[in-house]
Amino acid sequence: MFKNKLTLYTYIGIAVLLLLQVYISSIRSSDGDRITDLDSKINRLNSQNRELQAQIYLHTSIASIQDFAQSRHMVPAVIENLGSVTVASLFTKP
Amino acid sequence: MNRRLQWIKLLFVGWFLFLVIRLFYWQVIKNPELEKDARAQYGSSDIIPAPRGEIRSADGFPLVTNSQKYLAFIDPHVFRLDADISKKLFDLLPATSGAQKIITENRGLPLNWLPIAHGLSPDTKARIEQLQVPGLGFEEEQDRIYPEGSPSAYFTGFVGKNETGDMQGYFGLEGYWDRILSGKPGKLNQQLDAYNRPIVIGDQNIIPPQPGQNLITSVDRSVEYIVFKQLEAGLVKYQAKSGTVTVMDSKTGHLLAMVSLPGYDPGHFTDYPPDIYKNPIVSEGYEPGSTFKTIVMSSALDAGAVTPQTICEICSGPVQISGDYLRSYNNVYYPGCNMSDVILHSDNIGMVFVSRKLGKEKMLAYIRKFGFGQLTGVDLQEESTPVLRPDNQWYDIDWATAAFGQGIAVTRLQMVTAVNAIANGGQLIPPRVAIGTEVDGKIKLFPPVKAKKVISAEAAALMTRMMVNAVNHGEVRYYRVPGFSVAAKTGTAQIPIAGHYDPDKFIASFIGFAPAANPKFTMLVTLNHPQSSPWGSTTAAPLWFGIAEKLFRYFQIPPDSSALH
Repeated sequence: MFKNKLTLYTYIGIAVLLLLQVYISSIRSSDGDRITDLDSKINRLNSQNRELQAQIYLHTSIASIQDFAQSRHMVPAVIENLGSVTVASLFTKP
Repeated sequence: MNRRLQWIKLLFVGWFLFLVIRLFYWQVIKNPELEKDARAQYGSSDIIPAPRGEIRSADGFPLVTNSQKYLAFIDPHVFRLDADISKKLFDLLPATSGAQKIITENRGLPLNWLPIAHGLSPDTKARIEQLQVPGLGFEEEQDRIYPEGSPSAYFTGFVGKNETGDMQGYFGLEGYWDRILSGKPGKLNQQLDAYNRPIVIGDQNIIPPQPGQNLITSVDRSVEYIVFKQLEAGLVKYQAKSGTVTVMDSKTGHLLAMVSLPGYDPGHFTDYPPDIYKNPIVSEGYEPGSTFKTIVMSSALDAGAVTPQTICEICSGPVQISGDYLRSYNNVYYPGCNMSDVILHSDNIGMVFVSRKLGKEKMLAYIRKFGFGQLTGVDLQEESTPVLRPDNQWYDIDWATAAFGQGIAVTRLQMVTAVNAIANGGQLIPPRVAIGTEVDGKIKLFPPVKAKKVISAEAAALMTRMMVNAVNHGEVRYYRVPGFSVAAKTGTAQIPIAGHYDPDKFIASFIGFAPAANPKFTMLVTLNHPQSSPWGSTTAAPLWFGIAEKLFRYFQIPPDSSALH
C-alpha cells in the first residue's frame, strides 16, 4: 500500500497533526466561555464596589450625619467663643 | 479497455475541476458577500459607555457621583409569569402598574426586547433574579446620586435623558460642564459564537472609553449646610414665601455657598415642578432696593462728586421730579446730613442728591462698570440678566429712583459680585464655581480669572467705612456679632407687579462683607415677602448675622479689635 516507510510516516504525521488540531481546538473553544464568566465576575465585583462607594458617600454626607444624630436625640452643641473682647466687655463699667 | 479507463480518468479529472471551480466561486468571487454575512452573524459591535465625571466640593467630597442601577427587560417570546410569582415580582418593581400595563399591552407583539423598569438597585435586582422568571433580564444603567441632596441642588443641577435617550446634564454645573463631564464612549468589536461567547482567536478590536473628567469646585459643603439650615429656619421665623443666601470668597470671587428655598432634590427632580429647576440667584431679576445705594455712593466717591462729609442740600423734605414726589422710606428727613448719614439713615432723598452730583451718564456708566445688565460669566448653565435700557431711555424719575435701587432690576449674583468689588479694594472679580478638573489623580487648575478695576481703592475704603458706620450705629446694631466688624447695608424693595408696585409685598435684603478690614466672605441674604415684618433690618439682617456668627467660628476668624470703636 505504501511505497516506502517515508510515505507511511508522512501519512501518520499528518493524521497525528490533524488529531492534535482537533484536540486543541476543542479545548480552546471553551476559553470563550471561561473568559465571559470571568468578565461577568469582574463586572459584578466592580459594580458592587461602585455601589458600596456610593453608599459610603451617601452615609457620610453632612445631611445624613445630621439626620443620624437627630434620630438618636442628639442636639446641636451651643458653642461660645471667649475672646479677649468678649471677656473685656464683661468688666467694662457702663 | 483502455478507452474505458481513459473515460473514467476524464470523469475524475472533470469532477475535480468542477469542484475546484465551485470552490473558487464560493471562496473567491463570493467571498466579500459571505464575509459580510458571517460578520453580521457572529460579529458584535457594542458601545462601551464612558463613566460620567464626579463633581466634588472643595474638600474633595463628591457632591455628585455615579451609582450602579439596572434596567429590567423581558423577551416576550420567552417571558412566562406564574400567578404565584407575579405579585412578588410586581411588588419589587417600581411603578408596578406601569410595568403591568407594559407587559399586558405588548403581549404577542413580535418584539425581542421590552423594558419594563428603570433604576433598579443592585439589591432589588438580586431579589428579582432569585424569582428565576424565564425571559426576564437586566442591563446596567448609569445613575447619578447627590449625597448632599437639596442644599447643593442649585450648584449641581441634575442629569436627565435627552431626545435620543442619552444622558445629558441640565442646569447648574451638570449643564454648563456637560461636555467635560460626559467623556467619550468607547467601542468593542468582537466575534461571538452561537451562544454569545467571545471567540478567543477571532478578531477583537477595542476602542477604550474616555471617562468624563471630575470637576473640582469651590463649594464648601459645611458653609453650604450652615446656610441651608439657617435659611430654612429663617423662612419659618419670618414667614417668608422664599429666600436666598449667596456666600462668596471675597478675595477670589469663588462661590462658597448658594442656597435658594424652596428648592428641590436633584436625585428626584421629576418629583418637582419644572419651574423650580432654575436657580433664582443667577437667573431671576429683582429690584435691590437700598442695598444698591452702596453702588451709587461708591461710584460718586470714586468720581469725586461727593465725599463722606459732603452736606446734602435737598434732604429737608420730599423732592419733586417730573410731577412725582419722592419721599424717604419712613417720611423722616435729616436736613444738613452728610453722605455718611445718608447711608446710615438709608436716606432716599440723600441718594437723589448723590445721583444729581454724579450725573446721569456717569451714574449709568458706573452701573454698567459694576457688571449690571451683563452676564457675570459664572459657570452655571441657566444664568441670565435683566436688560439695562439704553441711556437715552432713562427719564429723570428713573435716574432718581435707580439711585436707591428701585426701577432697576438686577440678579442676586450681580449684586454680590458688585458689592464684593467694594470689599476687594475696588476690583471686580467675576464669580466662579469650578476651580479645576481631575483625571486619574492628576489635578489641572483653571487659570485665575482677571479682576477689573471699577473704583479706586480709596473710594472702596471710604465706602467700607460708611457701611461699617451704618452697621454699628444703624437699626441693625442690635444684631451685630460682638467683636467683629461688618460692612453691610439693609434693603427693602417693593415688588413690581403688572406695571405698579404691590403695597403689601416686599423683598427684604441685607448685603455685606466681613471682617471689614480684611474680608473673608461677602454675603447676600434676600427674603421674599416676609410676613413678620417687611423690613430688611428686622428680617434679612438678623438672619445674615446669624449665619455670619457661625461662619466666623467655622473660618476661625479672630475678633476684630476695630469693632470696639
